[in-house]
Amino acid sequence: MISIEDESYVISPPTELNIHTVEDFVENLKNELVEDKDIILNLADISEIDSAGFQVLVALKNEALKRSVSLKINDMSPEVYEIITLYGVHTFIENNK
Amino acid sequence: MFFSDEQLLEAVKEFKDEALDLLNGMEEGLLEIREFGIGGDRINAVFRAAHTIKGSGGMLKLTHLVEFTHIAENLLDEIRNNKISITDNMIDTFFLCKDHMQSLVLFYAQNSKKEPDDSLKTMSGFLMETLQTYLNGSVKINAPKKKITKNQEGVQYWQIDIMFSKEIYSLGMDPANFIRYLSKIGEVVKIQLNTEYISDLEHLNPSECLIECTIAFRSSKSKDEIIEVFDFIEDDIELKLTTLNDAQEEQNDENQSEEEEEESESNLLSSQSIEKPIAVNNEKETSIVNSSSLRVDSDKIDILINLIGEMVIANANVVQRASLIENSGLNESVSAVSRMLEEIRESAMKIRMVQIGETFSKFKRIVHDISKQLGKQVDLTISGGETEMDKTIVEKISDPLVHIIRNAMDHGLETTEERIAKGKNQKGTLVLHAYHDAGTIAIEVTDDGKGLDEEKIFKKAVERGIVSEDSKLTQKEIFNLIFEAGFSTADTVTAISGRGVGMDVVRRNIEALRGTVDIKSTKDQGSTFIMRLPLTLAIIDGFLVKVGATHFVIPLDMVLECIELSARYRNEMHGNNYINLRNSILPLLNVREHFSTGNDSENLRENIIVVQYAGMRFGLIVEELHGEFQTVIKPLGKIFRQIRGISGSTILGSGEVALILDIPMLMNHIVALQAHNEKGDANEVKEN
Repeated sequence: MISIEDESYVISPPTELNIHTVEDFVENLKNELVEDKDIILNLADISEIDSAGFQVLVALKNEALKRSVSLKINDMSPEVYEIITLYGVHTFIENNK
Repeated sequence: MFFSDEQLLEAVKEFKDEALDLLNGMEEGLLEIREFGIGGDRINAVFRAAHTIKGSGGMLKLTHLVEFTHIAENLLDEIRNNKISITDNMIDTFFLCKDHMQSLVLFYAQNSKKEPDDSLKTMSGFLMETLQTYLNGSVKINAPKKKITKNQEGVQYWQIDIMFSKEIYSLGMDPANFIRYLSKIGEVVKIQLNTEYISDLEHLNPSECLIECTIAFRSSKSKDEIIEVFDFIEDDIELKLTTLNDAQEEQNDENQSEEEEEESESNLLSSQSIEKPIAVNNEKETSIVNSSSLRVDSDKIDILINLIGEMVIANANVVQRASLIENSGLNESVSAVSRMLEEIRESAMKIRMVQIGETFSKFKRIVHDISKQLGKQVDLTISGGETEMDKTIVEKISDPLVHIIRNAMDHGLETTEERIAKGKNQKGTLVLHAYHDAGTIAIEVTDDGKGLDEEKIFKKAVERGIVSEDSKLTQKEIFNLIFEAGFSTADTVTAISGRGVGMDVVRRNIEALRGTVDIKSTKDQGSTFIMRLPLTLAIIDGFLVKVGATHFVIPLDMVLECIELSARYRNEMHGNNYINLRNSILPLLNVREHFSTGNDSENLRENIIVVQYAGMRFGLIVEELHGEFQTVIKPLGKIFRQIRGISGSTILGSGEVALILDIPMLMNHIVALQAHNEKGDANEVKEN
């Protein structure tokens, strides 16, 4: 789920990013993201995402801001796009695509 | 940065108090307009409030507030120019604007953050849109799609603030679903997620819901129907619905203050109507405002200081009697009491007296910013910042000062090119100077700009119908025309001044303080605006004299010298009211005649006290000279307020009352008399 490529963390969240999976996912992130490396998010394979999953993405972005590293979104599925626009966080996409 | 963050915050706090007062005034004005129409000065008052807030906000770089207020101001301007007629809906919108401005001001005062948070911005967006609709005119005819007021279909704009409880995920609920459902019963125009509320990864508890957002929502559904959407989770949500609409409904909604929500959010979800007067909301805000400082009615302090003055006088009596008894124990006690009394007096005075420097330093920023805006280079010199003034006067003088400074920079100072062409230093100078001028405080604003253009002013005044074309005015009278309401010489309205609102406010405010404002101006050399304000309460050094049986006090600072009215002078007078004092003419005022104070005591010896005020001098004919005297100035009672020539009273150690002479007033009297009697004498009186 999390690998290191070209000095960046590449993160592919579970395909179902919801309240049932976020706990493990966040635990995983906390353990793995130990260094201040840039983050690349691959959101293309997410077929289901709820608010709990969404707020993890926001938290990741906040984390990146805190660490002053960049956070890029590689690609995103329509489901992810839908919830991001639903919450009106367009800057989230614009800044990072 | 011109200001450190701390100073800026301080300035914003000062601005807050001022703005809140203005907003209260605005609200009152709106209420009156609703009741009596825009006539009288009502619309002007509301406009001025908005204008001043915009102005001061601009100085402090409260961009968002300025942008918002600017639109409201524009609409008000159109209304007062009779271009748009005001409707009840409009008034309601203005009420909302007023509340919103208040929220913005409070936000700025509490946060050093420059940008308001999203929910405030969303609100601004709505209101600005509404105002713009009105500004675009023809509200009734082409109601645009996004018109905020209720239209025939009953479509309304709502602001929905939602905060979900942290446990909501564990109930199997997803906030996103509620928002999706909202779009089925209306249009989610905009949504602002408060992302700051979501922590960074390190502190994230992923099973807690951290969603908090503000939704701009447009729907024909009623409030209850919208609330129904959240029925499922009514215990797990904090919901606030605000409509941006007209009349009655809005009142109910608007009044849901935060406290109400906290107390009974479920009530909000279920109850039909919540009827609380607007005052509830305001009261709460006011109590927050006041937590840092205590606002006391100035009358109460007046009473306190009057009482202390009485005590000082009574105590003087006690000290005198105690010293006669020669009991060391008693003397000791008496002196302890005296000492404490002294301290009490000082602290009571301190309550009201503040250095004007704080207010002055605010102008550094203002001048800096305006000069940038205008592209003019300006050097500001401030002197006399340590001059102490009554707090209320400082507060009230701030507005007029801002206006004068703005006008001086905008209209007075030339552009850099013009200055170079005239051979002046390309940097303009602006001098702000405060000083005690015997019993009064003078504040001068001097610029070295082009000076007032008499012709232009007169022409403009004729155009505006302020004076008739054939009226003959003195220079001073012409200068004073710029204080007339609706007068503005600027050909174009700039953002800084020129709406013709500033100068009449200046005069109004200063006159309300029983002060005066004068203008001195020389073409191409600059202008000076001199504000003279009374020291309504203070202890001054006075000079005690006696005429007949009446004691008078002359502020010592104004006294130049005392001379005996000798037989020689008397002979030279030939019944005229002036003498030749070292080769210059000194007009005289016989105090006994002027105040008709009895005609007993067949004149022993008369003395002349030469006083100086505002660069002119004259002599007062009095009888006995008693010398320097610490004077506790007490205002005259209401019935004596109208007496001209007396500015206050004081009580002597003996218990007798002495009257304090109002030298400026007497000076005016003499000048008027002279102008009346002789043609050119008045000029010769001028000294220096």
